[in-house]
Order: sequence, then C-alpha cells, then structure tokens
Amino acid sequence: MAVLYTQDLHKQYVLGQHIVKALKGVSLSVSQGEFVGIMGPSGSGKSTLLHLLGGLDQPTSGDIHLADRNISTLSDHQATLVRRRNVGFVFQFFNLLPTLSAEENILLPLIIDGKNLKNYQEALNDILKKLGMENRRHHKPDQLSGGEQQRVALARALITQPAVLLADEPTGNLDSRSGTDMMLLLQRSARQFNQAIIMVTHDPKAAAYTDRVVFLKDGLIADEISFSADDKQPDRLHGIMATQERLER
Amino acid sequence: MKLTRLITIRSLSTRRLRSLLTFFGIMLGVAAIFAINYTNQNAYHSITTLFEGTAGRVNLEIHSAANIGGFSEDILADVSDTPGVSQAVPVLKLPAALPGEMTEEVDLSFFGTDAGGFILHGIQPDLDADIRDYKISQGRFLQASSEATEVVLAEAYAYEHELALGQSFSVVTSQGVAELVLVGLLAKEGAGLTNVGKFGVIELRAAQRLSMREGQIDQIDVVVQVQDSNPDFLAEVRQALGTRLGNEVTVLSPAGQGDRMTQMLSGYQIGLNFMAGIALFIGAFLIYNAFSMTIIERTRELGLLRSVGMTSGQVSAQVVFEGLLLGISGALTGAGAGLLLSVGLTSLMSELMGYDLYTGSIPVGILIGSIAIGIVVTLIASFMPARQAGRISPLEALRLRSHQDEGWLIRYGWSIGIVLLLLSAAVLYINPFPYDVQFRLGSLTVFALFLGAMLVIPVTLRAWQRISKVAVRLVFGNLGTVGIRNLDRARKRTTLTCTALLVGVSMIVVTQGMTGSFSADLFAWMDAYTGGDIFVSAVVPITRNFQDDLEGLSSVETAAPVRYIDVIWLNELEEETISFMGVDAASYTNVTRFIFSDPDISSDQAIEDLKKGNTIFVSSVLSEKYNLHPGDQLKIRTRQDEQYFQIAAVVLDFYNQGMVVTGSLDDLSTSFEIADVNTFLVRITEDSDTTLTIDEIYSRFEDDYQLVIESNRSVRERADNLMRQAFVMFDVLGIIAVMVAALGVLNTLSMSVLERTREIGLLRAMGMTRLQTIKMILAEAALLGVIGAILGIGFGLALTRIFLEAMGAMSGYSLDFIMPVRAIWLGLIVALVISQIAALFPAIKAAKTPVLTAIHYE
Ligand SMILES: Nc1ncnc2c1ncn2[C@@H]1O[C@H](COP(=O)(O)OP(=O)(O)OP(=O)(O)O)[C@@H](O)[C@H]1O
Ligand SMILES: [Mg+2]
Repeated sequence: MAVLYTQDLHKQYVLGQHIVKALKGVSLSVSQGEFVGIMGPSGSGKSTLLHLLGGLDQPTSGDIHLADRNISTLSDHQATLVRRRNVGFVFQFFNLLPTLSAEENILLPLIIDGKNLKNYQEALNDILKKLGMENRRHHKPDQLSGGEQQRVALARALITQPAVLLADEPTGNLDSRSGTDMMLLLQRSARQFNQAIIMVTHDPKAAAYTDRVVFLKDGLIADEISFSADDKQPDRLHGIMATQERLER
Repeated sequence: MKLTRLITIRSLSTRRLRSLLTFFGIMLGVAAIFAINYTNQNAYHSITTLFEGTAGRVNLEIHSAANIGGFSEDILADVSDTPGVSQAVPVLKLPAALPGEMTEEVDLSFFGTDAGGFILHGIQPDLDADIRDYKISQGRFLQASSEATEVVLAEAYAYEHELALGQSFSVVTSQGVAELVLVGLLAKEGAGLTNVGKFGVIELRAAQRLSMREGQIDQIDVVVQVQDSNPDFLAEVRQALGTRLGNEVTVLSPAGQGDRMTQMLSGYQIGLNFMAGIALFIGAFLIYNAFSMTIIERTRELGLLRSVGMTSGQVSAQVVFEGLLLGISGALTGAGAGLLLSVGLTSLMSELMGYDLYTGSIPVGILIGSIAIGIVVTLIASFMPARQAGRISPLEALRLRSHQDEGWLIRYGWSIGIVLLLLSAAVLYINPFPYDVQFRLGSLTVFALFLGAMLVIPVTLRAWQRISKVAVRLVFGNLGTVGIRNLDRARKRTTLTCTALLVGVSMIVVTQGMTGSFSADLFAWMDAYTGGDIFVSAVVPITRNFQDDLEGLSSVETAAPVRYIDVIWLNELEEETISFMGVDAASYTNVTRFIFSDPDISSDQAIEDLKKGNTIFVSSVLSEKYNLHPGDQLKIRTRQDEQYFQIAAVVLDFYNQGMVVTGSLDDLSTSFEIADVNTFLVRITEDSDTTLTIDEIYSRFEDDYQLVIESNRSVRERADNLMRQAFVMFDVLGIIAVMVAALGVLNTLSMSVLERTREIGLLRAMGMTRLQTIKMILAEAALLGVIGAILGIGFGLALTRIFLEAMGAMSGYSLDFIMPVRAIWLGLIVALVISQIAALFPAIKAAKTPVLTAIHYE
C-alpha cells in the first residue's frame, strides 16, 4: 500500500528572467516498508524531489500524497506539523546541533513536539544500542566522527518512527565501511518499522541495498529497476551501473 | 589597497544592521561625552562670569562683622586712607519688592543659590562705575548729582515686570512705599548680573533715605593699588584694613562666594563625569562587540581571501579601516546629537540653579576632544578584532566549528575577576585612604568591581543555564532550553552583551537608589521645614507681632515665626558663612518638630536648652563635615563682638545645603539686633481649608505686607520635582546606557541567529514551527536579560552605597542607604523587556528563513 505518491510533479525555479525547470512531471509511488534509491546526474532534480516529498518546499504543479494527505498545498504551519509527525530527514552534512549532546540531538524531534522524554528512554536506549552508540550518548557532535554523526542523525530520524524517512546522500562523506553500516541500518529499519525510505545517492554500492532504484534525468524519471530479496549484491551493482551507463549515452 | 577598501565598503553595506548599530553606539557615546562636558563648561562659565561681573575689579569687600546690618559710612575715610588702597566704594543694600510682584512660590533654598528677592543697591554712581561694568542697554546711568529717586534696572527684570523707560513706579521696602523713576536699563552682563538679575541701582543718599538709615552703608568694595593683585600685597592690605577698622567690620575676599557654588557643582559633576566615563566604556564595548562579530561572521570570507593570497596584515588593515570609517562618521554625528542633548541638559541645569545658564559659542576644544575620543576608542576597539582577523588561517574557510576559539581571558579571566572583586570589596570595606583621594580611588574601585564582575561571567554561564532551565521551559517551552544553550557557544559575545545590560540596569538602580535614599531624608526634613499646613513668607522682613495677627484669624490654630540670617562662623581655620535660623522654640514645636539625628536624645531637654539662649542645634551636614557634636561650642561673630554658642543637638536640616544652625529668636535680637522675622509656619484648625485660609491671609494683610503664601503640599511637590530634576542627568545617562545595551542585545542575537541559520533550518525541517523558532530565540535573550539584570542590580546596589559614602565624605550629606525595591524591579523589568524587544527582530528574521535556504546556507 502506497504511503507516499506523487502525480505529475513539476517544480520550476524562477531566477530573474531564467526559469529553471528542475522537475518536469514526476509520478512516483512508494509503499510502506519499501526502501527506494534515487539516482541521477548532478542537477537532475534529486534533491528537489526529496524536498518536495518531505514538505520542505511546494511544487509548482502536481500533487504529493503523504500518509493520506495532499501536502502539496499546505500552509507553512501545516506542512511543519506534517513533517514533525510523519517525516524523518537525514542530510548529507550538518545534521546535528553542535550545542547538544548526541542523546539530546536524537531526542530533538520529541522535544520539538513537546513530548515527555521519560516515555522515550527505552526507545532511545534501544536505538543507541542498535547503532552501537551507547557509550557516545553524552558526546557533543564535534567529539564524534563523521560516521558516528550520521548514525546519530539516523537515530534522530527514527526515534519518532515516522512513516517516511528521507535521506539526501547520507553516505556522502563516509568511508565505505561506515557507508555499508549505514545502508544495513536503513534496510533493517525499513523492514522492522515498516517505513518507507527514500534515499538520494550517487553511490551505486549504496543504491544496491535498496529495493528499487529510480533514475532521474533532466527532471524526469528516466528509468527504474527493482530488485527481489534474492538478488545478490554484485548482480544489483551490475544492473545499476549498466542503467547509469545507458542513460548517460 | 584599493581592493581592500572596496571590500571594506562592501562589508559595511552588506552588513547594514551591524554597521548601523556600531554607528549608533559610537554616536551615543560621543554625544554623551560632549553634552556633559559642554553643559559643565556652561555652568562653570556662568558662575564665574556671574561672580566676576558682579565683583568687578574689587579685590576686597568690607562687611559688618556679623554679616548682618550695616555700619557707619564714616569708616569710608579710614579705608581710603589705608596704604595700598586705591579706591573704596560704598554700597547700601535695600531689599525691596514691586507691589505687583506676587510670586506664588516660596524660594526653595537647598539646591542652588538662593536667588532671594529683588534688591536695590544704593551706590555712588561715579565711583561705582569706575570699578564695575555697568553696561547701559537703554536710557542712561544714574546722574551723580541728581537728588531725584532715579533707578537703573537690570533689563530682564524690567521687561519681566513691564516697566518702561521714563516710567514712574512704586516699590515696597521695609520702611514703606517709595516712588522711583526708571532712567536706564542694564545689559545682562557685568554688574547687570548681580543677584541673578533681580537687581537695580539707585543713588546712595536716596537709598539711605528710603531705608531710614542715614549715614549707614552695608559694604565697602576696595580696589587695591597694585592691580596685579599680588596675593601677598593683597594679604598685607587686608591685614592693614583689619587692624585699622577694628572689630566692627570684617574684610573678605569676594571670590569666596563663587567658590562655594563651584564646590557644590563639582560634586555633582564628578558624578556625571563618572557616568560619562562608563557610557564611553560601554560604547567602546559595543564597538568591540560589533567588530568581533563581524570577524566571526566573515571568518570564512576572510579565510578565503587569505587563501587567495591576502596577507594577514592586509586583512587586519581592512578591519581597522572599517573601524575608522565607522568611527569618523559616528563621532561626527554624535557631536551633532550631543549639541542637541546639551541644549536640554543646560536648560535643566538652569532650572536647578535658578538662573539662566550662559550658552556661549560651541567649545571647539570639547568638540574636537569628544570626536577624537570617539574615533580613538573605535580604533582601539577594532584593533583587537583586527588582529584576530589577521590570524585567521586560510583553512578556516573550510572548517565547521561548534564554538569559537576563546582567548585565555575568557577561559582563565575568572581568576583575575575574583581577585579584582575581593580586592575592591576589601578596599571599600577597609577604606584606608585620606579624604581627598577617596573619591578618585572610589571610582577606581568601582571600575575594578565592574571588571571583576565581567570577567567572572563566562565561567558562570553553565550555572546560569542550569538554574534557569525550569523557568525557561515553563515560559518558552522545551525549545527554550535548547535556545539558552547557545549562550555559551560564544562566551565572549555573551559576556559583552550581559555586561552592557549590567551597566544599563545598574545605572537605573543607582539613580533610583540615590534619589530614594536622598528623598527619604530630604522629605523628612521638608516635612519639618514646611511644618504645619501653610508657609507664609514675607518678601521684606516684618515684625514678630504678625504672629498675633495670624493667630487672630479663626482658621489659624498657631503660627510660628522664623527668621533666617547669614552669620559668620569663626572656626579654627577660616571664616565660614552659614545660615542661622532663629525660631521661637515654643511656637515652633507647636506647629512642627525638630528631627534629631540621635534618636536617643532627650528632645524636651534639647528644646529647653534652646529656649535658654546661647544655644544652637547644628545640622547633620555641619556635624559630619566639621565633626561637631552636642556639647561643642561654635564661635559666631555677633553684632558687638564674638560669641560662643553651645551645641545642644544635631538635627536634620538641608536649608542652604545644610550649612545651617538653629537658635532662638531672642538670641537673634540680643546678639544680632534683629527683631523682625521673614517666615511664619502656620497650622490651621482642623475644620479649615488650606486654600481658603491662604486667600483669607492674603486679603486681610495684602495692603500691609508683601507676603508669599504657599501650601506646604505644593512646596513639597516642588521640592520633589526639583530633586527629580537633579537626577534627570543621571536618568539621561541611564537611558543611553539602556539603549546601548539594547543595541548590544540586538547585535548579539542577530549574530547568533545568522550563525545558526543552518541549525534553525534543520530544526524547521524536523518540524519546529515559526512560533517555536521565535520563542527559542526569545528564551536566549531572556536569559541574557536575567543575567544582566541580576548582576546589574548587585552592582548598582554596591555603587549606590559607594556613591552615598563618597557624597557623605565630600559634602557632609550623610544619607542612610535605603534598599531601592522599586528600582530593583524596574531594573529587572527593563532588562527583560529591552532584551525581548531587541531579540524580536532577529527572532522574526529567523522564523522567516525558508527551510531550504537555511539548509543550503553556507
Ligand atoms: N533554490 C534554487 N533556485 C534555483 N534553482 C535551483 C534551486 N535549487 C535547485 N535548483 C536547480 O534545479 C536543478 C535541480 O537541482 P537539484 O538540487 O535537485 O539537483 P540534484 O539532482 O540534487 O543535484 P546534485 O546531485 O548535484 O545534488 C538544478 O539545475 C539546480 O540548479
Ligand atoms: Mg542534491
């Protein structure tokens, strides 16, 4: 069942006399528990799409349905509340507030929502354990490595168990080992929490952990490949790279 | 270098708010310095011209020994004959009043000069014109031979009373009504300033005739032969005159009066200058603050410039150049604003001192001085950040930091701070220094205290956050606690802002605290001074029997006669002119009371002593200043010779700035031969109405006496107003300080928001609403406000105590410290409100940042 779908999504940026058509009609549907990768050359509209899906921006035309709501025309306040309850974000850089400890950063969405933090101690411990961050909980971001910082960001996106988790190049500045860990985590949480996860990435190895890869080119979906659970990593990688090569031609 | 300037100007114009704030800070500082100094100069100038003008070329003045009544004009010959004397000029003083001159207000004589009423000087026109400048603006001067009662009036006085040249008008003197003809007007300079312009001259003979004092004069002005007025020579002549003339008269230097006035003013000015110094200090702070922020904000940019080959010297020069531009423009505008401010302050001073202050041409020295101070301070304040900017490494452009590098002063300054605090507290407590260095040292100590408090702020930030956490959550929600965390990411910035607030708040507390402590005492005295319900004062002294007339009215219960005269007190060192208040103890205590400084004293006994005669009460001011106590004796020059008066008690009395003693009316008539009185304190019967009684007294006695009658309530209200005006200067500085603090908060939070654009974007992406964003920033500001307020209140209270002590030491006004509860609340509220208002703009700006821009922000 689709928790997130878009219909004929357009996004234009007006820059003086120029009009940049970042998205030119994207229709995409993502089900619960599905882990989707988005790939494409630089400037193809990946981040734009992700921001629209998360309600961070409004489309020029077209609809976005998230958790049974059309979020394409919401006011800033309504969109904020939708984000707060239904969406988790992991960005490439700068995911954490430097003044807060790892633990506090993770709890941030709950703080924003005015939740009683006592009720979330168990969930917090659970997540920290899963991410292997138990003995880092009181560290400040500048005392954490890049990989650890991204794990904290992921933990924060997961703590509210949002229906949709959006990640823009979460492995962008991680070494391959940390990147792999991150992918396994995302994969696991999609299964476990039945979350829809949409991840933008340039890295075919990362994309190989997803259930489906959508290829964007010039603001349109140019191709799409799905994997079944049995597909082996090298085969997946091969498929992705082949498609990339074909599209580049 | 050209490129550098271009970048500088770009940087100023792209950071318009910051530039504007810095500009304002410099402007305010310079304006305050200029205005205060200019006003001071005006005041000094006015006083000196006043006394110089009225004294003319006079080197010595001869008065009757007791400073009351006159002496025979036969002495004149003796004076002229004394070797060294070039001219001896007689003056007879004739207090008078115009019949139409119905001042509804009693003279209040505790702040400035007591201008007193209109006075006519009987002079010998040819002689007098020789030694004093009589500048005739209209008409002509008195003619030497003329036997007609011609008068020349100070022009302002004539205009005020609509007297035209050639007009004949009547004046009331103690001896009745006299007809005078106005023949000339005196310009407002030289002798025309005598008695603050309530002044006129008539021929000496006419004056003697009118006052029925034929052959008598009040004063001889002496000009000595060597006009360089060599002090030794002057002393010799004085000595010679003294021996020759004997005991009946006394020889004084005319400068004395001016000195008293200047002395009084200088106390006030020390306070103002101190405040101006602090204003400058915060001004410098703000500038430093603003520049440091610019550097922080531009770290990446500057790093980039470094990486493309700009030397660190060039980077520093760029920042200093920016400072120079701001310094020059801010200082120039500040001088202009200061000019406006000084107009206001000068008119305020005029009000306080009871006469118009001279406002001359703009003082170039002060102007250049304050502009220079502004520029220099700006340069110094920008120099440190400039060096810091020069040290930015090219790599800086790439680094992301959660908190800035902090100087050792922020990290270890607290130990110095604590030492300073302890040291200054100890100095204040032990106070081992002699009287004259005390105040200077006092201000130094205050400064040390201030610096200490400031240095301790950075290490206490954590504690403040912890303490305030619960309250912040309650008021600003969960995110408030996230907001206040940001205060210690840039501890230098936070410290500077808190300090700016601290200064503002402490000024409020000091002003209010001083006024409070001051008015408590003053009002207690005012209450007694204007005891009863109605204050009746006679423009020209009247007979004591008027008491019976007053008491004859059905609405009057009792009336107490009072007479003020000036007497000369011969203390060990010098002759001091003090006021002598003669009362009839019995009727006085029926209407009002004495406020004894020593609560344990037997007041009945003291009053009995006073009745016995040769006994006085001294004011607490005299007591403290000259270390006088009950049982001591005061040698006072009387009509015949000198006489000792025994001190029976110390009382609260601020008449004539506290230079006053109280004695009995009987003593006044036996020792000083003064039988008339000039004031009656009236108590009305219970069911009478004050206003009706005043009207009744007027209508009954209008024809016989020149009376000024005022209800005590209105006297007190005016005294209250006068008091508040005296502190308006401090209020003005307080407001400037608070404004500077507000600019500081605005600056700090704008910076904080700007720095955190991405963080705010992130929080918004996670679902933080706009309102929450605003609340988060406001929480940060609130904590700044609270820290500033609490420290400011503490500092302000300490300062108030120091000021009160210093004031006591300097002037003898010893005041009890009264906890200014209202001021404490006011300070807290002002700090909170100011910080919230100042934070609103950056908070709204933060809330408006589109989420995506924030995320993309680099
Ligand atoms: N705020 C904006 N204003 C104007 N144009 C924009 C804006 N944001 C994105 N664009 C343009 O829209 C297009 C799509 O941008 P987008 O950031 O979605 O690309 P991307 O696929 O994420 O690229 P990359 O892989 O480099 O991150 C680009 O041409 C970009 O220049
Ligand atoms: Mg992108």
